[in-house]
Amino acid sequence: MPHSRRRFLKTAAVAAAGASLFDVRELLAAGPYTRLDVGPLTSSSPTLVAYAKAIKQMQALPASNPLSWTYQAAIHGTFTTPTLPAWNTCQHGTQWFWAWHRMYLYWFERIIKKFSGDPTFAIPYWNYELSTERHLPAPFRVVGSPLYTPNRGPGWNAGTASLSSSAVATSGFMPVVPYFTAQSNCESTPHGAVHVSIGGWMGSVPTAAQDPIFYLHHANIDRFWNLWLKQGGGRSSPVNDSTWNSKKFLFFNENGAQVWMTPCDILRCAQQLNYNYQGEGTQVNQYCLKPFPWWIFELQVLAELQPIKLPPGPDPGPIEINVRELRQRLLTAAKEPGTDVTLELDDVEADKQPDVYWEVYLGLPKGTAPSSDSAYYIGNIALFGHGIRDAHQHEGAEPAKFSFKIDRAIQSALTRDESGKTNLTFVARGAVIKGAKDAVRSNATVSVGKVRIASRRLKKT
Amino acid sequence: MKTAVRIAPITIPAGTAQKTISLDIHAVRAELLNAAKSRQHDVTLELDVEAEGSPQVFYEVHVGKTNVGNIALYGAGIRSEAQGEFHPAHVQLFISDALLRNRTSRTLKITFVANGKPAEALMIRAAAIVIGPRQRE
Repeated sequence: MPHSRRRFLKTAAVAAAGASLFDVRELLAAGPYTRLDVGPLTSSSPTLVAYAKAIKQMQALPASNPLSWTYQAAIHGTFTTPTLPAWNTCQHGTQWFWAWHRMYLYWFERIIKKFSGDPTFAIPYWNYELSTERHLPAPFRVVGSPLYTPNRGPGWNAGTASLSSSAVATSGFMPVVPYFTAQSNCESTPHGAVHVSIGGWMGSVPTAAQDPIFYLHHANIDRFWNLWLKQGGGRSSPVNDSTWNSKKFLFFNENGAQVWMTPCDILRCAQQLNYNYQGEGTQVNQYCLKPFPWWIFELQVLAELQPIKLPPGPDPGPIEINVRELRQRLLTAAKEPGTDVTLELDDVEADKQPDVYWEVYLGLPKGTAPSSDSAYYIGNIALFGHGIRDAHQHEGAEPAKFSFKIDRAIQSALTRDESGKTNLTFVARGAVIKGAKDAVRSNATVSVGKVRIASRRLKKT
Repeated sequence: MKTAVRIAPITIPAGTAQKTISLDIHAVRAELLNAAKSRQHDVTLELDVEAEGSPQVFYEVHVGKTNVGNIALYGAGIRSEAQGEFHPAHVQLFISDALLRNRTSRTLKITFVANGKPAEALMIRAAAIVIGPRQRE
């Protein structure tokens, strides 16, 4: 129990203060809170006591109350009609499977904290990868417990059924590098395979979230996202994909108020959502490059460069750019606090799916192997959804745009070469195989219609 | 991406626990094996799958004797549970290793094994063996 002493001290302090407002108690609790492996927990473990207490209270609320058990489950799915706000909004077979379920669990967890009176509560995860955790956790099989439901497949509540090793296999997605393929494969197995193995309510989207074990299963799927990222090797959430990162989803907070979230809000579990997973180690923190609101920032275009064309086949090599007249200005802007120098790539289009992504480097010295650890690396171009003009795209598909912060790269490049000549290098990448980045070839012609260097800073009021 | 083998639609009726299909891969065997060995490529079995209701089971997929993954319909691919426009579920299974274990055979057997008694028929509307860029470490 990694934080039982902290939990006790905080609960005792709150009780002594007689605080009655949840927000006050939340303030007293710092976090991040650890989502525990349910395996070693018993019915009397504080986490499961809190969970059961909250479920009981939520089940007593009318279905029209957004904090009720029925309403929360219906956000995932329901057969009930007419539907209420946010019902049936779960994402399966879409780009947002991992992201939507992370948001859903986050707000659900806050509601459980409120009803349990335990601001340190964090949803435990069902670690069924371990062969010792393939049965339904025992506290969920106790008849009469709020954690129990009779609506499970044969043998689960008797403790005789267990998950097969093929149902919980992670080999279909963990080695996969592209985000959407890994996510889709994880959605199938173990996610889908565990759902249908348990059956009953869990086996069907419109009923699954009524079973208390649902949230532990999904905590584990959410943990897999972190573990997948942590392997490195080019794995990344699609933070620069504006279709993915700008999608808004509706939930309810613990006070029953509507809240909207985008994938950019949930990339860093500990920093943004105040939780981590037992045993996961340091999380990978990723950031969206959000478009900056024009009324807050001044964007000044410093240089318009020539459009770029990346042909199919091998990488075209460095593309020379000359910023001699701007050299001093760029160096000054790059060092100035509150100002970012950016490379803006607009009207980015491929004639078909390139089957690769590109690492983008600014000022990469000749003969230097491109590495995303280097000072010259400024980001990735990954085209998915936007920016692909082929037969599978809808008419009017929009070009993509990318904005890269280049302060560090431009300083490194222009300090090294005082002539003001530098270069942009696009390196096509696929999977990393046994640690060696193989040369991969793009299948598509990619054009970048507008290439600009700009400075961006907060407007002075 | 190159489609090496197109597979005719497959239906696994409700109540059927196992179904095997045989593919004559003689004409493309060398190409498939080269791709399977290559560090640049993955060979995948791509399936578009649907069912009217939940089959309430998942299906292990075996290529030869190798288990290459599962078809598990949950949400996506189930017509009666579709929210808005219906789409089949797309399943991608990596079969390079399975091909290399089956390198001398002119035919390739693909077996679908349900982990119970399926409540609904599973329909594989489109299926293909595809050679694509390497996606795995």
